[in-house]
Amino acid sequence: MDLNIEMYEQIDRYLLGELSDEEKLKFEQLMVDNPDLTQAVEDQETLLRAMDEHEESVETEQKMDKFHKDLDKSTYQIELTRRGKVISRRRRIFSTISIAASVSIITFISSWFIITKKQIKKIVATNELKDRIEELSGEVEKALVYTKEVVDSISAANETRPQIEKYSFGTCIPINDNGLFVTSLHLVKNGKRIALENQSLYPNKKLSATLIYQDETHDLGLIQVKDSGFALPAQLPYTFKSGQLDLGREIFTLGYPKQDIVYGDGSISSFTGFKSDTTTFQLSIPVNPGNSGGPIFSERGDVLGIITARHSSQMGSAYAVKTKHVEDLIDKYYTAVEEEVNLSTKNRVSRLSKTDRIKTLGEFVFRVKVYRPLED
Amino acid sequence: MARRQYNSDQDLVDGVIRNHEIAMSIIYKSNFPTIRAFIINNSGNEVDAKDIFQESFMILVRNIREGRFKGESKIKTYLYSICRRQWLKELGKRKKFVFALHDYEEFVDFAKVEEDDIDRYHDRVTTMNNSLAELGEPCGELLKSFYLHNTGIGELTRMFGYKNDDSTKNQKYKCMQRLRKVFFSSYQVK
Repeated sequence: MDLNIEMYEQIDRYLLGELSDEEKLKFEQLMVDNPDLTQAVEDQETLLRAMDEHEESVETEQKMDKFHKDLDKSTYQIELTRRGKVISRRRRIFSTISIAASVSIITFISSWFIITKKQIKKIVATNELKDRIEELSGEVEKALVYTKEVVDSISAANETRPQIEKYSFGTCIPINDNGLFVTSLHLVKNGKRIALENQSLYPNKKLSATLIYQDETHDLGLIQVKDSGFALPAQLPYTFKSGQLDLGREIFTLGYPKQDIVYGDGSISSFTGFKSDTTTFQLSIPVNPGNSGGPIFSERGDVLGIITARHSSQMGSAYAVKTKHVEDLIDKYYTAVEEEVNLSTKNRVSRLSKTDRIKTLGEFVFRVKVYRPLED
Repeated sequence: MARRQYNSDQDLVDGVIRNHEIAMSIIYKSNFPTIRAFIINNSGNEVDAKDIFQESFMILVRNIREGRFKGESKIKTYLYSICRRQWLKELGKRKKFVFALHDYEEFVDFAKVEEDDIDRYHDRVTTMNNSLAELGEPCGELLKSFYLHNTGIGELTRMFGYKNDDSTKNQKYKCMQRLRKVFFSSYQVK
């Protein structure tokens, strides 16, 4: 069905979740009255779905080719040398040779499985040990905190004694499910200790983290949760998207200007940041120091930038570092440690209602508490 | 940096969902030898083995990510079942009818709806791959940037060097019309 360009744009808006609840209802009524329109919408949905699947399949294909190359080299050697003789002979004498081949293949495979089971038992035992050590160090930390609190209260009572520590607060978000987070470098640099809090996912718990990689130019830092067995309980619901910095685009932020999570919204007021800095962009959201390191989300729930600690809250403007620089930093980091880059590829919230979307995203926004040495 | 341990099928399923390359590589490499043996000993050759296995591996990954497979059976059983079914279908296409199949694993039976779903998915992806190849550039890049990467019209105008935003919208519309025509000329909507 050949509809005009405006109609197709409306269909796109509908399918990409860009219509308000009211507009959506109107459009769906239009579809009910117009079977041609319904068909066009279904076709467009098929096309979008197929494009999505195509992109994923291209990615999987590249991985498969890599795996296959590795296969030819490693465990496969034994098969290769026998292969030629076995197959060609099989063409002449079918049954007996093929049975022999099958048996040898099955024996090969089953011996591989036996080795793996032993290794699995070892891994399980090591993990149990790790858990026990975790438990014990938790107890030790509790004891230390208690001691420190006693010392604090004594020194507080004694006015001539100075306070032992001071803190900075900010926000951060995970970039993978293994405990790697991105935040404002300014916030965490030179901190004595970094602790992460999240009342939704980990009520009344503090996660210890360290700064492991930094980008001074863009005020970005990567912090890693110390517990090596740490894993988020679910997949990340957002993706990082560069290139959506249109003037006036509606955005929102979630962060910790106070102890509980706060939602703020506004729009992109400029492509560039403080004094035309091209690495940041300007927002019309009122932000407070506690928002530093926090995410700027598009309406769909894609991360467009990270709020920077520098220059913000000057005359009611705030600035965020563009996602591109976060992606570059992550690439550099993974290259440096020679590991696979693993950024979330699927936005899981765009189809939700606004409040559900905010709620889901909010679960993954963490509060950062940095303990600073006195001399700072 | 924590190295994830994969101790069970459930860990691997989780790893696939989270796009962890190592989990996917473990599944790929540990299952290929069996499938290869199955195909070769059932009238296939090395090329058939690789093609069917990769086709089925893609279906497995997609089914895991779409929640169609959650680990109700062992991964190797499920993957083998997909390969077996795809190979039988291929043999049927080549008019090679088999009296008895040499099996190397337990396999699960797919309900007709599951088989239809697999066929439609496979059909969609293949048709889209071919359609995008036929469309060429800049249509391919333009459509993917807009629909998959959610790049705004303003940014697209800059990226592709069009005169203005309306120009871009027009180009996008034309490319989409072409894609629609090419795609639906081969894809049968069921």
